Amino acid sequence: MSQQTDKSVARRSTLPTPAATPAQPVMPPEVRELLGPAPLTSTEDHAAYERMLGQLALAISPSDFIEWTAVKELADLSWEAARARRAIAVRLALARKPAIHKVLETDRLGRGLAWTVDQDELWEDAAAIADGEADAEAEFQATLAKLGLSERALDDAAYLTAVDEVQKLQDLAEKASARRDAILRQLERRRDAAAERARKAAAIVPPAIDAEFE
Amino acid sequence: MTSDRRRAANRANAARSTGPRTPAGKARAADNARRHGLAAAAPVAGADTQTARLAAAYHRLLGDTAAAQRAADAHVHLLRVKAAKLGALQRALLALKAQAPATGPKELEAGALLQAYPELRKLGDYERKARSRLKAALRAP
Repeated sequence: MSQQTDKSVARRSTLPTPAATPAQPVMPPEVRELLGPAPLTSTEDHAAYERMLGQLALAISPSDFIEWTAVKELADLSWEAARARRAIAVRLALARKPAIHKVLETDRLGRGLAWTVDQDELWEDAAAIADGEADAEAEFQATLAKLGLSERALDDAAYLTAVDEVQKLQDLAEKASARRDAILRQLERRRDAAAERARKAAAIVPPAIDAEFE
Repeated sequence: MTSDRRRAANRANAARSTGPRTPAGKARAADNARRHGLAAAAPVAGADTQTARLAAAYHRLLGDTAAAQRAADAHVHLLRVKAAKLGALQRALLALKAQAPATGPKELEAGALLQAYPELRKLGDYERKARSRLKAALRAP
């Protein structure tokens, strides 16, 4: 097909055009400067943080400085909670390796192959399985079944290895989430109060305006 | 065992050393025990300008100078706590990276959080107090 034809097909395309995205509120630069920088370490993704901030601003549509402060706080605390949850996943994944190693060692010893147990080799095998290498993983599943163990038992063993660390990280995640929820409640109360004031103001209709409609 | 001569020399040296004498030296020594400064009543450099700008922003909404000032003070304190938390995390991250340069970013991040955990926890208390003060100031009529 020639390039000319390609272009004409593209022009006649009946594919639906993407829906127009609603205008996203942008944090005014002077507000951004007052509310401080993004709380990111040198290894974290600035664009991902900005996306989160943008999504929160879109959902909340802040109307004044206090609401922009709430948006920034919500973004910072959500980021903090997500960071701690990511760390939990990483530590649990790391803790799987010693648990896998233990299973491999138990299997060898159980088969009376104590003399063949080479620790370096076992750790290498455990790393391959933990990294999800297909062959090693399939062989390991067979070993687990033979020993009457399940993936769940492996996860439990990994959890036990990392439980102290997981609890610390869980503590950080929960505190950040609790602070975020508190800010959401404050925002809700503030908007409810504003709505209530608006309702009361609307109820006091000046007689002159009523007369205009009669 | 310490000899009598050594003990006498120690006493003589100690009697000569009575701390800084100049105002600049005294000011520097006053900061010796300072860690993050979050418990200090005295403001830190640069905070005055930021407090004034925040107070102006809050005043436009609250219409109450005293409440706006309290909100601004609490907000500046909150920003300092957040900066201190990030600093603790970043320091731990760099220390771990120096120890094991080949470690991946996610593993580094998790390790840094754990290493900085005691400090983050303490700073969390300051953060809670700052938020509570900010909330109270914004609630004021």
